[in-house]
Amino acid sequence: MLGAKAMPPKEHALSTINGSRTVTWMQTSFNVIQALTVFVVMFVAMTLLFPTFHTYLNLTNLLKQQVPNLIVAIGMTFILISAEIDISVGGTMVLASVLTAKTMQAGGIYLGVLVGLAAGAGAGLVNGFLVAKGRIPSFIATLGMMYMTRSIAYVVTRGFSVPVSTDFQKLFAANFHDIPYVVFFVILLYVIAFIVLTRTIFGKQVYATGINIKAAELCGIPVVAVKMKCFVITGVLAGVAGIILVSRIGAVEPNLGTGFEFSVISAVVIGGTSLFGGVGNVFQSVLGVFIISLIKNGLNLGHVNLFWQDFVTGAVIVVAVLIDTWRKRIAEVLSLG
Amino acid sequence: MGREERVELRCKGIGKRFPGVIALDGIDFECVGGEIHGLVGENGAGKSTLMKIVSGAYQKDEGSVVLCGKEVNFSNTREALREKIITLYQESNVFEEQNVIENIFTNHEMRLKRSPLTDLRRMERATRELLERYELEIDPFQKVRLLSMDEKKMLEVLRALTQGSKFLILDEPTSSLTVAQSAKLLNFLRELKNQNIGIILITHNISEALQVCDRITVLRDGKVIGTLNAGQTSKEEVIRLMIGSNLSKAVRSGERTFGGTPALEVRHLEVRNALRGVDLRLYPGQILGITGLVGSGGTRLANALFGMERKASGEIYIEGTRVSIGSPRKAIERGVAYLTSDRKGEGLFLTMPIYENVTIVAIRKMLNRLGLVSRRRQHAASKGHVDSLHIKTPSIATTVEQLSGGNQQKVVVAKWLETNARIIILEDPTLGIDVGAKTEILRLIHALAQAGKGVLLLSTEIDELSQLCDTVLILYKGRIVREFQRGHDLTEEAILSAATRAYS
Repeated sequence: MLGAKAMPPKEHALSTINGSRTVTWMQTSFNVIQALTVFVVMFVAMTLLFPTFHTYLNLTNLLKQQVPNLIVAIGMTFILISAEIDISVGGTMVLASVLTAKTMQAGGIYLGVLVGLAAGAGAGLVNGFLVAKGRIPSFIATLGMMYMTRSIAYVVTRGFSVPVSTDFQKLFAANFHDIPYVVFFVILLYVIAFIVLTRTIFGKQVYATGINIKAAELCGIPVVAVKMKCFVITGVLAGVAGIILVSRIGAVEPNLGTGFEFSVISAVVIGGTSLFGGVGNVFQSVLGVFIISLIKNGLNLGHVNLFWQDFVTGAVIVVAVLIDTWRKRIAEVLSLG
Repeated sequence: MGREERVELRCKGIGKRFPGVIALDGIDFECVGGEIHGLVGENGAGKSTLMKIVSGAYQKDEGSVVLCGKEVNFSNTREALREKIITLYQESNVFEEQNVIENIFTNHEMRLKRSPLTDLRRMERATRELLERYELEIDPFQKVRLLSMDEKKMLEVLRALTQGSKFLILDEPTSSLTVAQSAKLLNFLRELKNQNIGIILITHNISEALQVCDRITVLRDGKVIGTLNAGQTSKEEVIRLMIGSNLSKAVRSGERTFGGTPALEVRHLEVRNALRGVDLRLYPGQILGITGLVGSGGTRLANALFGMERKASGEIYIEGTRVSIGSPRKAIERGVAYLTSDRKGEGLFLTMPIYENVTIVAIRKMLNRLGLVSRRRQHAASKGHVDSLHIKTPSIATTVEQLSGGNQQKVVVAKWLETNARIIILEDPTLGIDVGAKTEILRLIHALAQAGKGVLLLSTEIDELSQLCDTVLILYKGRIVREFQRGHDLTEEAILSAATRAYS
């Protein structure tokens, strides 16, 4: 111990007390403002550009399409805040929907829903176990799960489409002025998720784990359990999304929702949740989901070649991550300028 | 080499500031070829900072560095390397899975003529010559992983030699060596003297410095206190120059008593590769200091007490009850708090506001009737600590990354006070904190003990140990080898001399 190291304090020039409070304020609100601005600008631009955009039908359609993304984005927000990632959500969602549809054919609606939820929870549990206990980088662990879940979906269906009863399709079809009741369920989920993240012990622990896992451990936070819970929550939500997806489209195929995971992750990141953990909240993710959907809708309405659409989505993701990476620097520059 | 070129390094009036701290203040220092120049001083005296400037890792704010007659301004370590100034850091920097030859010629391999291929035969011959010249019995094809610590260090020195080093800076080279190994390494360094290389030895071990160096420069609080001829000085004189309290003596204001049932008792605690039977007793109201050389086991002891490390054997009693502490969570439940020396890396959530940091451990106390975290309670609790600990901040919603080192440390203290911990383990609590705030932190520690907490202070700062502690234990290679009692034999000189002595 003696004579170890003369450690100079490594504060940068900004970390003096006076005058730099704005940095924090900018850092957190920069994300929200950025997402909100992009959303509003896009909304106005599309209203002006495309007469069909502002129709009730187009808007409710947009909303309906985004239900699975909105649901899974909640879980992804938890995961990203805890400084992990889950790219198996698409696979998990499809597996849940396939198992739900299959089970319903034989065992009825309730059993089907139950199996779908169980599949989601199971996949989440495996992910959580591999990452938190097995200490495999989450990208790799969930990459493996992405393949495995999808593979099981193919095995179960033998690659064919599985239809569900019209009774079950009513679940999604039931609506209030063409807004499915499911949308209100999604809103409820968001309110719950918001409270969990900001007002419960678990929520605080998720942020703490994401910001500094070593410090979190030394504070007695059960970091393994925290990460595990985040993955299970996400798995269950992917299951819920899968069940709702079946109800909406009436039949499932195992090749459904390819690229779903990246569309969710990019939505959450565009919303302002950091890929590096510790920063973000669920309402920002809603904005992110809608920004992505507006981009796709805009490209459709503008008759942009379908093959170019993925290019645009890819570019948007890269820009969002670039902003995330440089966020702190940008906030500092803004607050100084 | 026909005529020997003049090898000399002169630093004149070097100054270096970090935010809130003057690390170096008008340093004059010189080292010439064929000399071993010792650089001694307490933690934070500026030894490493000075050498980092010489080797290009830091840039000076003032002064000049003159190398062999011409002024140099290194903006990175590569530029210093080009001038053949080579630094060997405390941790060994070898490639464990490669053999001796590969390690010696890392990144400056000998080539076959006009080809990109390496000339193994020539490198082997050169290695054998080197090993022979310095009478080292090492097989050139041996995997370095299998060498002892001193051999690894010597290997690094040999690498520097083959790189044509003019100045060799060794930062605490013997800190992780046994006595016999240290002796071997020091002998080896003496052999190098006729190579016209300037060797700068950063060390806390005064006996060692006296034994091997030609001259010794003593630093204290970023200033040169004196440069002595090793042959004409004594250990006592060097220690006297090193010390010199920079703290106000009023750290212990008001008396303190301790006694009763020990808050913490450790019986024959063993941790694999770290502790070999440690016994200690910590009473409520007592400040028990523990110090020793790097790697003597202090951190591992703290880890074991906080459930971060499995003990091999031994017993831990808290307030008279035998306990097993399997995780930090368990330790916290038992009333133990641990403030590690790495405040930013392990103690704080830098991007979180003060009130979240203060209440994160005792979060259960912050719940309202609905079972939700009440921000009002968080604020009230934090406000209390900010006021009583005098944390200087514009608001309790300020993120802790914006606070100074001293105030950050107070936030960590507040976090543990909120848990009502009764045993507080502190490791180098004033590391990287400027002198003014240091006194304040030490007063705070004194106040904690006055309030009846048992304080275990692991520190490398002798002055803070001698001023604060009721008892100081010297830990050496996992054993407690000396004990000093306040009012009996606890003095700064005694601790320093015991802590740096090589026990055999």
